[in-house]
Amino acid sequence: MSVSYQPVQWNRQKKVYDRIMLALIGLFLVTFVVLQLLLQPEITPETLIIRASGLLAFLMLHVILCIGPLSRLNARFMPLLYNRRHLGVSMFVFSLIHGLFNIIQFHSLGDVNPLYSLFTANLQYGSLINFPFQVLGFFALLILFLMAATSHDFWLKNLGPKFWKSLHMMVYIAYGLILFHVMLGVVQLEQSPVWIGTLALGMVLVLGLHLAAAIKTARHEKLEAKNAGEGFQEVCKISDIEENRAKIFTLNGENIAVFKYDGKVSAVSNICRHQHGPLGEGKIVDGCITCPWHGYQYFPGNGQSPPPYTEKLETYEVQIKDEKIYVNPKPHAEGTALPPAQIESQ
Amino acid sequence: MTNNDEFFIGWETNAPPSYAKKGRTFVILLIFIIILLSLGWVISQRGFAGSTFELGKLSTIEGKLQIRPVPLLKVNYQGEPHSVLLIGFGKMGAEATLSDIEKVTNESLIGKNIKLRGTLIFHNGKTLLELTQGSESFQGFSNQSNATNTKRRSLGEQSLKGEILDPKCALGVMKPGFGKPHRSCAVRCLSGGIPPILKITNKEGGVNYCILLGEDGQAINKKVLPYVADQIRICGTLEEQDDWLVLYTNPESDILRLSPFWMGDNIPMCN
Repeated sequence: MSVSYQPVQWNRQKKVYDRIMLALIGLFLVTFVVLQLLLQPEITPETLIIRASGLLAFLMLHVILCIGPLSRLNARFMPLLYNRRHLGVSMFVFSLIHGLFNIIQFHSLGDVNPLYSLFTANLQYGSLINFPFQVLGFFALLILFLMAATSHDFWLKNLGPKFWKSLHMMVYIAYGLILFHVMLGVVQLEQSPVWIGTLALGMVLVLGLHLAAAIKTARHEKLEAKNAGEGFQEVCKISDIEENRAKIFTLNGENIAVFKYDGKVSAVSNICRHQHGPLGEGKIVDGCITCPWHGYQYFPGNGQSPPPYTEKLETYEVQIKDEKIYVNPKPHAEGTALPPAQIESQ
Repeated sequence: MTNNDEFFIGWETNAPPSYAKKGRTFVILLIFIIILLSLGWVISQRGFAGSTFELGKLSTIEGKLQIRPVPLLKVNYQGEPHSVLLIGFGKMGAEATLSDIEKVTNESLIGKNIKLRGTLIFHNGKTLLELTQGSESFQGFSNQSNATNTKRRSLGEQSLKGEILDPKCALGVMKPGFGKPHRSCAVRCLSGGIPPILKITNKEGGVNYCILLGEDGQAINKKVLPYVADQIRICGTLEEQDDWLVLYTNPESDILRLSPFWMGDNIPMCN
């Protein structure tokens, strides 16, 4: 959470995250380069740079794409999600190295502009097998650039979470472009079962994890979605909610998190104002609802972030009758203080 | 998730123990994946040619300049004529550089014995000289005049199967200097005036190269661009000129792309 923008708001966990990330990047580069020089020393330095940077970026992209669904399937993977943007920007840097070296190597020092050459050297756009695969990589790199350039809370705030999220969902388009870029490029040349196999395995892993996470989410939404009429609606028993935790309900299209804490029950929007994280999967910490994704906080009684922070959530009226919780799905304006429903002691 | 469950907050100093443990397990898994993938990707590559591009090292060679069939310096190597193909800097042919040199010397160099300095490229018995320094590649006239006249031997009408490449990359500068990833580079080189060659591989794995020219000996660089890096069959009159093969062909009618591969060899051509 922040009230002013800094390039990186460092904390201990971000530093640990980045050190591990850099160590793993270093491990890949050293292992790949040393093995290459030992086993196939005829390779040129340019090809070594192009292959090492490309493969590293491709591997990092798979890790990045797996972190999201892994965190949905098991909250213990949340630490991987917390600083994923550093992983994303680093992946873009290696993609850029790969792209630039390719343009220099294959398109520069010729009779036309290298960028013009990129689009016109191979004109077999109508052929699947001979499609100019470098063009696919170029557009993927453009998407990754847009994502890396806006990978900061400044842009998140100014573009708005919805637009920002849509922009960053383009990573899936980039992934598709990169799959075809690899398949129609180096895999066609190498034709090795190892290269084809790892490409297929990576794709199955990414798709499989996303499918599993989607099924889990759909099941949850199916269970908790209710089409209610006007006024207060029964949602669950008090005992259904753990202390300092919440249950999530979809009532009349409203995504609502109902929290139980300190003998009270409050309801707020389930959608975190930061990156639309699921607040109902968070916890009350130090009296505040705390988002499981990046730790943004809100008071349960009024949906406001503790000062000096300014984020606010919609709030909902709550009643308790006969040990049951009732919520009125009509939202109150962001940050509206509503009296929590009191739980009578047994 | 129970109330007593640990809860991860990124801005706290430490992650809860169970989260940290999961993170450690994930990192260890990644270490194994990284090592395994690196090894797998390296050893499963099809390998790289043992060709040489002496980048950063300039050599001076002496010989007789010819511009037919393509710009080359004919040298006498161990008593045998050896043609050193000349190419320009980057992805350009040698003609512009030779023209610049002639402007400086104010006389035609064709058929003269000269000294040229540049970067050597060699592989499979073929040698190229990149005129890296432009017109400064010319190092004066040579007193040596032991280069013989070109020995020409007709090999008749032939139909050859192979891949059209640029000799600069295929013989040393790029690894790999063939196949689809290299297609755009080869297109640039041929478009820039480097003469196209056909790489022919026999069943025993032996490799030879053949310079491609039009039926009248004219350059056909632009016309072969659509076929670069594809497996093709090409027909024409084959000739041996010293240590190079030269195929005189009509690129508009006598080249056929062989992909998809199931088309096989029985293609009606060269009638």
